[in-house]
Amino acid sequence: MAGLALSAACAPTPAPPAAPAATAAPPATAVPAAPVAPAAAAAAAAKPAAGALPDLKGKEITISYPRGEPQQLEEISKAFEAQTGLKFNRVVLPYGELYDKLLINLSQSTGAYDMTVVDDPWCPQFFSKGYVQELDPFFEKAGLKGLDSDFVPRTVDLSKWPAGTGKIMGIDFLGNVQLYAYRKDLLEKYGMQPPKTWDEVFQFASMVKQKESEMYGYAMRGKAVNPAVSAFMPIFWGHGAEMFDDNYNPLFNSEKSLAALEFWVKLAKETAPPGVATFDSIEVTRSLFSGESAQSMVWPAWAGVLDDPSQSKTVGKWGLGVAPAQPGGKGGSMMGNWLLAIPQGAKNADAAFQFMLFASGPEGQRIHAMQGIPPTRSSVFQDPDILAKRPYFKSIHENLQVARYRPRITNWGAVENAFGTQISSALSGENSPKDALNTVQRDVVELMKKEGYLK
Amino acid sequence: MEWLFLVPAMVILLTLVLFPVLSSILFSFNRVELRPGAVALSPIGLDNYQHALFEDGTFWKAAGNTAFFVAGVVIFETLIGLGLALVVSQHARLRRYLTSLLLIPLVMPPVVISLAWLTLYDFRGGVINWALRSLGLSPVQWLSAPNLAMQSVVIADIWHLSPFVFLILLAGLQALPIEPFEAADIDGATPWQKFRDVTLPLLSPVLLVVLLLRTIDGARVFDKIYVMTGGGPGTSSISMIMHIYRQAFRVLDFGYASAMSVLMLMVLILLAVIYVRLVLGRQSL
Repeated sequence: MAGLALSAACAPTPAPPAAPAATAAPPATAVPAAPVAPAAAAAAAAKPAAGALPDLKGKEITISYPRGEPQQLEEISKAFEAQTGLKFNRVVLPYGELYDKLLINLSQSTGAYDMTVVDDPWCPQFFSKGYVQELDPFFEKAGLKGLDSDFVPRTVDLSKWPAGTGKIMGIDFLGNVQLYAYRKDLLEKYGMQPPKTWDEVFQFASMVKQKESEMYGYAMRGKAVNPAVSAFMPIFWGHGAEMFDDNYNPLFNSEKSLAALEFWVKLAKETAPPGVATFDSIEVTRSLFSGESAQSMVWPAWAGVLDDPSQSKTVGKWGLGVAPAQPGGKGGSMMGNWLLAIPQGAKNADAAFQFMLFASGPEGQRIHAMQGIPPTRSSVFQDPDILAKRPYFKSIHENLQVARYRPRITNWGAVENAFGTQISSALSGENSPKDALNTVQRDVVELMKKEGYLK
Repeated sequence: MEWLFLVPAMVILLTLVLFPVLSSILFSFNRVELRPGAVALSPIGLDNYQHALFEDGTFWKAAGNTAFFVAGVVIFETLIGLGLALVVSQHARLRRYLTSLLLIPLVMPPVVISLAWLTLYDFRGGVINWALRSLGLSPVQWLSAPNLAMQSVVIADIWHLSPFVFLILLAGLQALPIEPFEAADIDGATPWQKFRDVTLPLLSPVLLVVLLLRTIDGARVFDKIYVMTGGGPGTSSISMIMHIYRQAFRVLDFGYASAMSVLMLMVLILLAVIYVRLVLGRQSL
């Protein structure tokens, strides 16, 4: 997600030595055993990725991924290049531009890329419309039974189309997920327990707003469309609200949806910094790092900076937890994972697939984890070396196991646009929550009819 | 054979202008889908136009915002630019310094300007609110209050592009013949009479061209809004192009986005025709 761009200098210590052989020399020891006991299948699946890397000298693939700090895939692809001789052409683009380029190149099967990184909200469209290749045949050819049990189950769901049950269309290799962050020093000061429900979040937030000078209780991204939706989803789900029923009937103006939006607006009005309706990542992180706000949902890249003295005035004061939920609400933070996929028309799909196995394998994910980029494998999350360097990975792992993903519908971009404009408008006071949600409901019914989900 | 020299220019014009315009018009009557290896069109008649005009509240919101923006920037930039040009044309030394100073905003990329204003408008750390606070006034949510966001973008644009109007009008003023002014002096005209009856009529062709340029350019405002407010809060500062961009590249409804583009094109052509008529009408007098 966009949040990754923010972890700029979060790791002043250099990334793992560029020559990966030094860190991961004997693959057998470098790869911790998969946590699940009957390891026969899992080990067999992990082995080809870690053990016998193929010789790919003389071959060349073009891969595309978003620009970020730390840079995803850069170190991994260098390591793979060193071990197999495969040559990489790297196309690194800013987030928004990557999407526009992929849209054109993938939909028109230009063959420009052999492998690309895909953000999870783009997946329904890319997967359902055949923009990327089905991966089951590749796994079969490699003698593998799909994604092994070391992957956190939700990330396997996300890799399939339809989600959870269908064919493997991508490999989820980057477990970006929201975490609930709170100032534990202030909780202690007021003798409060870490909030478990959104009501408790509100109580803590108002306490801070009233008692602390120049401080606010909760910071959120309220800028229209994607930022607002990302910030609102944990509250929406936490109130037991859902966007659709099982038959894709929109539920945006249900009682629970309204309760959630009214809560969000109240939380903003009474406890948040002024102007949250136009806040994006920059404003929220600034508010957290400067010690101005006491709580927020944060992304892993931000969590890495909370305790970085060169950027944060609040080192050591933060607690991390799973997303709160109202009694009866399922709760759950939102996933913003990244997947690896092979575009339709790729010229070197086989070599690209070998690289995908490596990048999503224990060795590749470990390289990322050392840089502060979250993995999707439990074994990497539990690696003591990584936990020692990045203690907040424990919270990422916890959240990832109960996290939720955005609805897997092919017109998600359109639905997000309708929803994200209106909730931002309610947050700013331009619209009442009720009017805003009625508008969303009407618009989304239209969109679902247009896309053929509803008659 | 002379026409052969026109061929390269015509080819470029046809491929870069006519083709996109025609395909937009074609798209606007279709539902457009990007399928693997193809752009799939299915005709739906006037549905896209009907949706824009009668169903999509945001379309009218965006149209209203765009009209507000155009009116704001055209009126204020013209007044400020004209005022500056009149003063500066009288003073040679001012002209030397002020002209190069005023060029600075013009040569800066719009995105940089927008980011600079974003910082100035910042609620907590912005210079503007700092100044208000130190005067004992309460700070203002320049970009996050629904009723202020659009005005704030207009102010940034006025700062950015008034110098453009100024430069063109200054050039226009300096090119005016001197005789009518001498005649007016001899007849004992007051400065106001000279301005109203001599300067303004003589300057009007240039003035109308500037108005036309600023109107068309203002109607296409995107970068400042994209950077400064993202169209928000809610839809309170969404512009037409911002709405079209979202419908095309985020919602992926290329047909609908094309229909709105065509509607916008028609309005702009109408405005251009009116302006051009005005210019030509004056000249033929």
